[in-house]
Amino acid sequence: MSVADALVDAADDGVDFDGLTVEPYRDAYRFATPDDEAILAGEELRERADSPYATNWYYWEHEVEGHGTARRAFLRWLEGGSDLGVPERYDALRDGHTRHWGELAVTVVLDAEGRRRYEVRHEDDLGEDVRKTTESSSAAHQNAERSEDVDAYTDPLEARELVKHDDDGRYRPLSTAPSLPHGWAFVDLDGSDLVETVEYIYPATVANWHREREGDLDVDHWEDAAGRQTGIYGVVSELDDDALEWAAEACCVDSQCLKRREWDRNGEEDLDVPRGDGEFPCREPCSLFVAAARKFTTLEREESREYTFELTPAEKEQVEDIVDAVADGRTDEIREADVYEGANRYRARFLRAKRMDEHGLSGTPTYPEDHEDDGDDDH
Amino acid sequence: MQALVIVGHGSHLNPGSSEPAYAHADTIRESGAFDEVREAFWKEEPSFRNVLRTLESEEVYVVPLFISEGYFTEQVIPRELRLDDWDPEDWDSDGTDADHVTLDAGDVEKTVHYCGPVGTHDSMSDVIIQRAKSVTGRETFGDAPETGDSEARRTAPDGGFGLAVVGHGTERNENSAKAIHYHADRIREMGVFDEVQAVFMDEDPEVDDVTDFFESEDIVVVPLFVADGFHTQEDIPEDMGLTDDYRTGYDVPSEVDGHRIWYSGAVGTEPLVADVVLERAADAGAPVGDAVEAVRERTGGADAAAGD
Repeated sequence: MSVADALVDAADDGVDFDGLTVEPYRDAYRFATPDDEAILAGEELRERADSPYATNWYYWEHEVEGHGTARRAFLRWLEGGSDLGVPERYDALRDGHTRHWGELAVTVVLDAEGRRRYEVRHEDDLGEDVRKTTESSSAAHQNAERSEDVDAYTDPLEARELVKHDDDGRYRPLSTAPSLPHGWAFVDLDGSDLVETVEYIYPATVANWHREREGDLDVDHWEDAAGRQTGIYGVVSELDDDALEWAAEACCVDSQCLKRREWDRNGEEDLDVPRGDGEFPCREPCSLFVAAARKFTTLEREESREYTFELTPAEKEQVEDIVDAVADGRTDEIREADVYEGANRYRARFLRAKRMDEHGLSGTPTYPEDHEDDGDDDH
Repeated sequence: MQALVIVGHGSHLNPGSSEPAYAHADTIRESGAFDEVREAFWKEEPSFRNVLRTLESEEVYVVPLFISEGYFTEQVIPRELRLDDWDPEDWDSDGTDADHVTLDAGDVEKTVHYCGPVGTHDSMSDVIIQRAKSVTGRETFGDAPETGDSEARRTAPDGGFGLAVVGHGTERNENSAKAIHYHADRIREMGVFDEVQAVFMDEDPEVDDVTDFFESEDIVVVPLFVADGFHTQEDIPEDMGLTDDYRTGYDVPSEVDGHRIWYSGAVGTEPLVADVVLERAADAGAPVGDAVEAVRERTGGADAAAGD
């Protein structure tokens, strides 16, 4: 149905949308926008079909539809909501209006007919030229110099495979980890395909964001989520308050996950760990957190012991550097010959050669009681 | 609108674990039988907890891509989907004949048709046979007429074809073995192979000794697992003696103790599994039109299914 037909069709029941009002008036119709008001016969109404207000109404009410759905709310949000008037919004959309969603940049562009087309890519790849995937697979292209271009995709289902591994080829078990790979762009999508693509890249984030905006996000706090676990995960309820804080600090902060943590220990006690600044909420501890918590729980059953061993001050700092480098995921960045870095491989190997033997660090057995018979003549 | 949700285990460690769910979902999407088709996982996203809210459909058919009935299908999945009125008794199953039950979910205004797992559906027998055909490149097994004359089959001049269906065993769930026996018995009765035997990884009869259980020269070994992973790619090939080290690979067929072993890898990766998923939903009342035929056609199962 054309915009003109739709407008005439809807006029008797009336239209009231984003500043556009169309309603029966005597034998004709009143067509009103914030800029203009006119009384028009049916045929004259058709002539208003190219008004931004009319094409905007048509897009949302005839193409997107889905009142009350997360899909519609997300597509509205991408345009900056209803704060801007339609002409101003159209001005912005013609040049492409971009919003960020996790590490994604989603761009809406208005085409000549007033329809929206969407594009989504890694936010770092904004501004890169898009290369058609058919081109990229051609022999000619393979011989071409490697460029910074991004490959174009149009089928949302391809997103599943594209984001499964990070740029270094490592499996990404957590979709919202800030390790989204680069080098691709989904282009020329309609609204449904855009939302589906985002859904495959960051599953359920749109749905839970929508619930939060509607005021009905159902948060399951740690005690609820842990209490529900059975089988090998039943033990996680034992994780104590301090360890839960450490676990959230380990797994849930922005450097590890882009969801904004909305769950706490329970409805009364907040965790001290920052929730994060993400656009979309985390409504309960995820399966990765529960699996990690299971390991933390069993590790926390051990009591601390005192160990005595010797380290130079530089060696103590080096141990700290190594822990930091692993915890911050920086080991790959430390250059082969950068012996000034404590977590450098040669430095670590030197430390191991000097300070570790079959008993581990500084010759101190982890379980001294198992070595009581070893005596002083042990080598 | 109606949706199909395929729920699988997934993995935090193995990126291939979710691939069968994606592949079968794509086949069913292609058939157009559902307005929405979505995959959800215990260990990946969307989680069972969050999947229902991602759908716009009011009617949702949930099919577990699991092999047996038990812990996951009876406890974990219904709990995580918030099917609050679920009671395992509703399936009225003795371990291999779960059907479907219609329930409300606690967090969405939708009707959920919760189906039994693909692994215990009768059509899974067809998939096992199809898997054997895929790995051997044969359409029939042995020269014996398929009329049920077992004596004629035993004396078949080519040495005969046996089928071993491999299961995990009882480690976690007694129904795990039931599902294996169920399909082994059904396929034996169909008379497609000269011999059919259920074997297990952690109970007798063990897959390690698979050649002891067959007179047939050729043995097709089909593990009843959803996805290829540690068990199907590493343990089972080494246990059967196809290779000393899975990393060096093995031949199909491989010669072991005077038998030729045709090892197929996980049955769950066979395209025809999409048909089982669809049939589960259809059994639960999903109006899928001619999609079942279309999917069988597409996945090479038209002949296998015709035998039912």
